[in-house]
Amino acid sequence: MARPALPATRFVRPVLRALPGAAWLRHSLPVVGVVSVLLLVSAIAWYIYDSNRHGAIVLSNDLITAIDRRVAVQMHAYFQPAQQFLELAEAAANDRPVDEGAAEAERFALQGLLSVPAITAFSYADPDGDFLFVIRNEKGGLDTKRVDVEGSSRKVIWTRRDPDGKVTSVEDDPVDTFDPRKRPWYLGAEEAKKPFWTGTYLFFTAQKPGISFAIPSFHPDGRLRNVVGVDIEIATICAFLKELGIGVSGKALIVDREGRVVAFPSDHWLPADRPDVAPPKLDELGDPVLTHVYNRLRVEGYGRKILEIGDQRIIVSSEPVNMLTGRDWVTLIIVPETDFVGFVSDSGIAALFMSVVVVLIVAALTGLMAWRSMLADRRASAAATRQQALEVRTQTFIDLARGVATAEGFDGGDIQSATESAANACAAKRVAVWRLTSDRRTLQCEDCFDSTASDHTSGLVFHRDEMPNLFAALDKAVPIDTADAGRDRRTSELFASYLAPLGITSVYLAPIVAGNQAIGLLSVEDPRRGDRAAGLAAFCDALSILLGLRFTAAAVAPVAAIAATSPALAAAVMPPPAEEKPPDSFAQREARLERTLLQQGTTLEQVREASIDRAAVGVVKLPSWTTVAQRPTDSGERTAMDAIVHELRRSIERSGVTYAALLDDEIVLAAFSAESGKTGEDARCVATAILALRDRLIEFEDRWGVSLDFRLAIDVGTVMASTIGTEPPTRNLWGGALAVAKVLATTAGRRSIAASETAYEMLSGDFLFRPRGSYFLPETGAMRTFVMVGRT
Amino acid sequence: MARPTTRSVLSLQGATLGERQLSTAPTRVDLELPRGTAALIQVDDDVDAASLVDLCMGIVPPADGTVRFLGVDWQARTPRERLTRRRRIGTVVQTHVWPSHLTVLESVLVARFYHFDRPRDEVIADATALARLFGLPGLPAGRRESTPRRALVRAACVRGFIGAPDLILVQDQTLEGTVDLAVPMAQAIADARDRGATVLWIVESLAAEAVRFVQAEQVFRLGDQGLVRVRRR
Repeated sequence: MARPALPATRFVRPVLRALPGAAWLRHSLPVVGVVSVLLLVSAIAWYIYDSNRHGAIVLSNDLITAIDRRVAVQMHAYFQPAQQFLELAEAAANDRPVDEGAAEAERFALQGLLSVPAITAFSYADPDGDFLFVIRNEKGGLDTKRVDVEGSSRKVIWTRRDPDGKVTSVEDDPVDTFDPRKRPWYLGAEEAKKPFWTGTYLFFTAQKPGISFAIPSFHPDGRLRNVVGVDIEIATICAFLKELGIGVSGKALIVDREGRVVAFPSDHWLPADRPDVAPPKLDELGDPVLTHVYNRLRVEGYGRKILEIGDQRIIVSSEPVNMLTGRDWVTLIIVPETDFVGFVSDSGIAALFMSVVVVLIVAALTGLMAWRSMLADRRASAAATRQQALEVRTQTFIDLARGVATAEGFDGGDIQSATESAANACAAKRVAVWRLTSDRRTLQCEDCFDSTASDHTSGLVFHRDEMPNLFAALDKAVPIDTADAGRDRRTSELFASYLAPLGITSVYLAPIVAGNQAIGLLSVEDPRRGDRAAGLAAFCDALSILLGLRFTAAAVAPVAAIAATSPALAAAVMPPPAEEKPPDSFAQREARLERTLLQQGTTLEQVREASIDRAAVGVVKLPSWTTVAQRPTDSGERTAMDAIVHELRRSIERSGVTYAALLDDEIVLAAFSAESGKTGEDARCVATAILALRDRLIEFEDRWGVSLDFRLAIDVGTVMASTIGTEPPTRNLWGGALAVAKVLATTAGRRSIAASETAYEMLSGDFLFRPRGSYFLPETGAMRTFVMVGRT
Repeated sequence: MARPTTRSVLSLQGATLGERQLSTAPTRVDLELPRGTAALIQVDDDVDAASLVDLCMGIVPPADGTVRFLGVDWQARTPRERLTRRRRIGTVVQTHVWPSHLTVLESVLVARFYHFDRPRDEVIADATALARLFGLPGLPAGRRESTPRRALVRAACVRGFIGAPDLILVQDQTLEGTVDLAVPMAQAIADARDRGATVLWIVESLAAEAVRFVQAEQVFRLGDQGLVRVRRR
């Protein structure tokens, strides 16, 4: 009877721990907190980044607008005096051809150029090809070039001056071929018929980039009178653009409406390699960004916009320079957005990184706290589990001990209560109590409780021969606690034959000791391990002591008296079953044979004359013929079977068996004698011969390197004998033990020797056997079978 | 759909398997097993194989269709009648169901003694012959916990073939790791077919060693669309 479980109230945990979701909530709260902090930090970082970026973009727009205005002011300051100078010069020329107005215009230019530094040179030309040119020289003075064309003759005179205005030389230049009528400023003004700004080009004389401003004068009938012009070097504008410093890598250019570059932010920029070549367009500069900008501007028009080129965002500002009439120039500012807002992104990333570091530190600390909390919970849970297990075992032991004290048996029941209570207390799959026989060769199961099937069994027997290591350990009266019985040498045999088929690997074996000698065994099979194993060893050891006391008391107390008060206790103190004489397997077989003969209408006595009682019989089932039909390499025999038979014959002749016969693929050996006392000797003779034959066959396997499928068997029992009328007469054995041995040989494992129960009983003292299972044979009834391994 | 024949020992007409583990759609099974024939069905999943066995034995009704054994629809019979008819079916399906309170010998023979009135010695002689065919000296006389697994598997085979059943159901997971049973099983099946029994062997793989020697008239694979006839290589 299973003991009722202890009241659950004894193990009630705190309410919070008992709630199924509470532990989850408790453990996940720090994680939720960390995630929340992470989300908040991310949101704050994003907000700061976005607002900073927005502010930086507004500031960058303001900066670009300021740069636009500054460029416009600079352009105005640079070009406006030159424009005013030329208008005055045009007035000085007074619509006259060069040969008439040259003197006055020269005087004006020599005075005016000193006060307008932006102007490099002054030009005065008429349709006849006459030309007046005043230009700054390298010494700081002003030189005058006069081209006088008379018909087909041409005269070019240079007048050189020092910085003080004194003429230092007058030179004739006969090789000068300059014709003002072919210059861009002249042609442009003539064509435009109004003040005209050229594009950027190389000055013929100075070989420097610049622009020219020209004003034409026409007769009332539309004919051209003259053209005056000034050359303005743009190096100053280029230097100015270069020094603007827009962001990190931004640049400002002056371009016209066609996209041709007027001024480029470089000290050494040249618009072309020849004076007559037009300045390049934006897409001809070899800069992919400028090319992209140019293409977008052509499609979308001018203005301020952000272009995405690859993974870059480029701010492009293209505002017209309105103060210069006649030229639609545009100030083009190109700057990567990151130059203005990059610091926002960088600082945002840095702030985010630092925040993440902080969050990680917080997360680590929180995780540490959570981990420690979980550890504490686990320890508390483990302690509670251990406490519960200990209390259950203590209570179970107290109840069992109380049963002993009151002599009412275990829990008022029988020994089954002990195994059942122990199984419950240890949460074990099976618990069994075994008693050692007086000859200490056999352990017999008193009771075994299987908690899975909730049923009891008994009667299973272990023999010292089959489990020598277990019995050796039992002799030392030391408990065995192993979680892997197959790997423990002491329990490996028990595992192979008993535990493994039940799917059990863990076992606790507590010897039942009396007088420093084991008298039994308590086996707790597959107990719960881990925290629930707390006190398992102590409980089992204590229970085994209790069982030892009971077994010992049984030897002292009058059994009858105890039986009168407690049948269960009497059962526990009864002498071990091994003390009883085991059933005689020979008698069983004889009874079975007698019954079978009666069914056939005869009796045992009637066949006694033709039978031999207790003959020892061995059968060798020889290898399959296909494996032994080939010629062996190491002998002169025709087949391997010939070699085997030859060798076995010699072995049999030396063995001393009474009878040997070869038929087909079986060899039959038998030993018997008329004297009944020699049965054991006959059995040992056949067993020795069978072992020798097995060893010979194994030697053949090793020698030939093949696997021979042979099987052997041995039995002791009645056989029939017939005499064959040969000279001298020979005997033929048949039936009975011979038939049983043949069956055992046929169904034995490869290379093994099967033995019947009678053979085991006769030979177990001298030979080593292991059990093979009990089988019901019509010839013998239920019979234990064994495998004979060798000699002890 | 196969045409029902009056000679079929087992007939599944549009019998629908319930929920399958590896298939989302119900599976209709059409199968006709004439007397004295053998059929192999490859079923990939153990649970499906067990469901098919239950279906054939009338233990579980089909979701749709009919299952007839010896011409009679299982569902047309009362539970007691179904129990009585199942005595004519031998099964080799499981080895771990031996009752703990009976010896293996008693477990094998009890149904024979309960359902039939043949002399005990004859039944034992038949059982012993089968046991020796499967490599045992006799039927195991101990209980399951003291009987080696090798002997339990062979005893299960004896239980399936004993008593000349009309239908023998074999599920090959029982025979895993027992290659040396292939020839005895083939011999037992051949003997059973010679006396008119029908054999349905549900295998996990048609390449299994255990079915190597079985000469089957019909070979199928259970797929999503029911039984698909396959050719053995």
